[in-house]
Amino acid sequence: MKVALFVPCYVDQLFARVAWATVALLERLGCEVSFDPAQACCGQPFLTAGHPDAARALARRWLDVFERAEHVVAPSASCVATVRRHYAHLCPDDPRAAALGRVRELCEFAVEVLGAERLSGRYPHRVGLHPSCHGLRELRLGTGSERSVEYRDPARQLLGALDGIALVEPARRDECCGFGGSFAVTESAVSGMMGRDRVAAYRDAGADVITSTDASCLAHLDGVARRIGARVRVAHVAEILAEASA
Amino acid sequence: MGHPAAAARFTADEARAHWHDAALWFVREKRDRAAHGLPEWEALRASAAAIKAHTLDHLAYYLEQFEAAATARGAHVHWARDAAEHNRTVHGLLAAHGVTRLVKSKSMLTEECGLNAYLGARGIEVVDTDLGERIVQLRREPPSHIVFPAIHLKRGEIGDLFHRELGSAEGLDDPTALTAVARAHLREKFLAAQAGLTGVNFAIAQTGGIVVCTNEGNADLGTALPPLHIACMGIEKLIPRLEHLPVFVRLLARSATGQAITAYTSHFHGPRPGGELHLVIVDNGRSRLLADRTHRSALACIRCGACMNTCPVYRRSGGHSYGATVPGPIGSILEPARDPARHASLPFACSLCASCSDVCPVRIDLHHQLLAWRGELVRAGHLGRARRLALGAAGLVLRSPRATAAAGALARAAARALPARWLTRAGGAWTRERALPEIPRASFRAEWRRQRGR
Amino acid sequence: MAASRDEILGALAATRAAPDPIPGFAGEPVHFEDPVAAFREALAAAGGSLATFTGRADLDHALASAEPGAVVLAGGPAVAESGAVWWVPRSEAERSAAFLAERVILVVAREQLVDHLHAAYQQIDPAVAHYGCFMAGPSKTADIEQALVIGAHGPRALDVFLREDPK
Repeated sequence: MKVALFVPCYVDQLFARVAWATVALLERLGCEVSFDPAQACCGQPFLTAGHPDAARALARRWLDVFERAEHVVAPSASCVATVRRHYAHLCPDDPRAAALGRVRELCEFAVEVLGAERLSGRYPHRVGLHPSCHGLRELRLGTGSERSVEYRDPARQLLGALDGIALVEPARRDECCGFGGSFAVTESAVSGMMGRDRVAAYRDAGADVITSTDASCLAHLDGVARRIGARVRVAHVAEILAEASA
Repeated sequence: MGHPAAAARFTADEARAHWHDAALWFVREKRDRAAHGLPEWEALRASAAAIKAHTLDHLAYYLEQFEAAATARGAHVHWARDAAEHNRTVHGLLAAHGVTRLVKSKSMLTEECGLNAYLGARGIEVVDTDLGERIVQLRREPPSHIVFPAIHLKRGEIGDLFHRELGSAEGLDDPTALTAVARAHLREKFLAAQAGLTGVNFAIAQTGGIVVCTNEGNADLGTALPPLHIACMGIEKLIPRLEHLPVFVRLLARSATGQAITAYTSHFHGPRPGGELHLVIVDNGRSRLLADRTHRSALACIRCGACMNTCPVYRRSGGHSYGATVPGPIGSILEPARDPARHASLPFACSLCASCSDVCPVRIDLHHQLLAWRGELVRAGHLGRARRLALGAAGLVLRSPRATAAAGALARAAARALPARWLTRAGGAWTRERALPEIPRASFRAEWRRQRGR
Repeated sequence: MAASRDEILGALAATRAAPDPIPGFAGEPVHFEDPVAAFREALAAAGGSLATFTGRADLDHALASAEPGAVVLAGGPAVAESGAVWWVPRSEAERSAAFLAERVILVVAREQLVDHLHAAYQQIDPAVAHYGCFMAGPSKTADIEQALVIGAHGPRALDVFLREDPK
C-alpha cells in the first residue's frame, strides 16, 4: 500500500525522530512510504493565530502536494484535524478540499485502514496516554469525558496491546495540556500552569512516560516537565511503538 | 488590561488559582454525572439546538406572537433598542409607581445594561437577592460567573464582608450560618420592597408567558409580595411553544449545577390580581448578531455556565480576568460582537480544546466561533499591525520549502551555538514556562534526502 | 417606544416568515419501572422527602400533626426524574405563604406521578393562572464555596405527601 507521509512543520524542524518512527511503523506494516519535499506547513498555526488568509495559501499548497496521494498519514492528530475539518471551510471553492477522509493520523491509519489490531512488542513501563484535544474532539479518536458516546481509540488500542505496558489514567483524563498553538506564548502564564497540572496528574497516576499522538502537546509537556524537574519521559506514540518492536 | 495580563495576575497566586480551578471542576463533574445519567442526553441537545435555530430563523414572527399573547393576558410589553433605552424604560416604570426600593433576581441582561448603577444614581435602592449576587453587590464588584457569582471568594472573605456590612459576628465563616445571616437580611428587603425585577430564562411565544428558574426562591419572593413585577429579557430568550419548555428545563439545571431541576421553575402569565407585569424586550446588538451567519448560533445560549466550568483557561484565570459581563467561552464570543476593540484578547484566551462545545446544552459550536473571531479581529486591526505583519511574513516563509529549510537550518544552528541563558531569554514567553527542546542538527527532510535520496 | 419596536422588528425583517414545521423533541425520554422510588430518590437529592399514604385517614392525620407554621399545598403532577411537583396557588396569600414558611407540604395524588417533564407539561396549562411553579425540594443555595445550604430565602424543608387510594 502506498502512503504519502505528511510531516508537520515543527516535527520536520525539531522532532525528526518522530517522523522516522512513523516511517518505521508504516514500513513494518508493509507500506511503501513516500515523502514529497515540496510539502509545507498545513497552515494550522496561522489559522489559530487569526490569519486565515495565510492559512488558506498554505492549504492550497498542501492540496497541490497531496492531491494525487491515495493515503496521507501524519503523526499529528491536530494537523490531520486541520486538514479534515477546516480545509473545506478555508477553501470552499476548491473541490479537492471537500473530500479529505483519506488523510489520517498514524494510529488511526494503522488500525482502521491496515487492520492492525495489535502490534507485537514489549514496553514494560507505566504510560500515560495524553489525548490530543483535536484528535479527541475534532476527529473523535477516543471517547471524551464530556459525552457518553463511545468512540474507538486506535492509539490506546495499539499501546495497550504491548507486552508489559501499564496504561495509567490520570485525574481529569482528557483535560487540555495548555499548548494551544500561539496560546502557549500569548497566554503563557495559564499555558504553563495547565502544563504543570497535567504533568503532575500523570505523575500522580504513576506514569513514568507521557505519550500522545500530537508532538506539539508533547513539546509543551516535555518543556514544562524539564523546567520543574519532573522525572518523566515524554515520547510520541510512534516512538514508543518503534522502540517496543526493536 | 487584556485577558493575558489579568490571567497572569490570577495565576501568580498558584494556590488560590488551583483552589478556584478545583471549585469549577467540581461543578463540571456534577454536570457529567447528571448528563451521563440521562440516556437521551444527546437527543435533548440535538433537539434544543434545532428548536433554537428554528426560533432564530423566525424570531420576528415569534416576538410578535409573544407580544400579542402576553398583552392578551394583561402584561405590558415594552421594547428597548439598547442598554440606555432599557435603563430609561425600567426607571420610568419605577418612577411612575413611586418605587424607591427594588429587589432584583438574577439577570445578566441588567448587568450588561448597567442597570443597578443607573437606578442607584437616581435614588432607587436596588437589592440583588440571589445570595451570590448580593455578596458581590456588597463588595462593589461584578459577578465572576453567571451562575455562581461569588465562586471566586472564600468563606472567610464572605464572613468578613458580612461582618462589615451586615453586622454578623467577626470570624463567622460557616456557610450555613452565613446563609442564615443573608436570609434574615434579605427577608427584610423582600418585605419592604415596592417592586420586583426578574430576568427571564425562557419566554413562550405561544402563551405569552415567561419562566424564571432559581434555587433560592428569590424571584418568587421578590414577585409574590410587591404589586409591580418588571421582567427584562433579550430578544433571543423566546421558544415557540409550551411543549418545547421541558427540552430546555431538563437541560438547564443539569448543565449548570448537575441538578435534575432547580428548586423553583416559576411561570408567569399576566399580572397578579391588582398588580402589574411589565416585560421589557431588549435588542442591544442581538439583531446585529443574528444577521451574522457565523456567530448567530451564539444567541441560542441559555446561560447555563457549563462552558465556563469546563474551560481550563476560565478555571485558572477567573471570570474577572475577562473584563466583560459574560466571561468564559460564550462571553468570548458575545463580547467582541459588542465591543471588538475592547474585547479583542478574549477569543485568544483559549487553547481551542473544544471541551466547551461538547458540554454546551444547545450545541453551539463555541470552539469554531472562537477561531473565526480570531481571524475577524486580526483583519480588523484590533490586535496590532505588528502581529499581523509578522504572521504574514512567517506565512510567506513557510509557503516555500526552500525558505523554510533555510530559516530552520539557521535557527537550529544559532540555537545550538548560543549559550543556554541567552536562548532562554530569546525564547521569550515560551521559555518563561518551559525548557527549550533539544535542538537537532538536521531537519527530517534533510535526513530523508541524505538517506533515501529525493 | 413604538419606534423602538418597529426598529427592532425591522432589523429582524428576514425572520418574519411564519414557521414551517416546528422541530420538537425527537428522543425517547427516560422511563421508570418504579416511578415512586425514582421520585423519592430525586426528591431526596433535591433536599426534600417523600411520605406515602394509602387512603385519606392516614394522610389527614399526618397533616393534622404537622407543626402550625407548615404550609400545606395541593400539587400535581409530580415528576419522577427530578422530584418536582407542579403547584398553582389557590390565592395570593397562599402564594406568599409558600415562600415565607419554614416548611412546605405538597400533597399529590399517586396517579398524578409521571416519569418525566414532557409528560408533566402535557397535563398542565400554566397559562390559565398568572403564577404556577414546579417545586423540587426546599429553597437552597451553594453560593458560598459550593457548600450546599438548605433554606436560602424560602422554606427550609419540603415534604411531598403522596396519596394512593386503596384498591
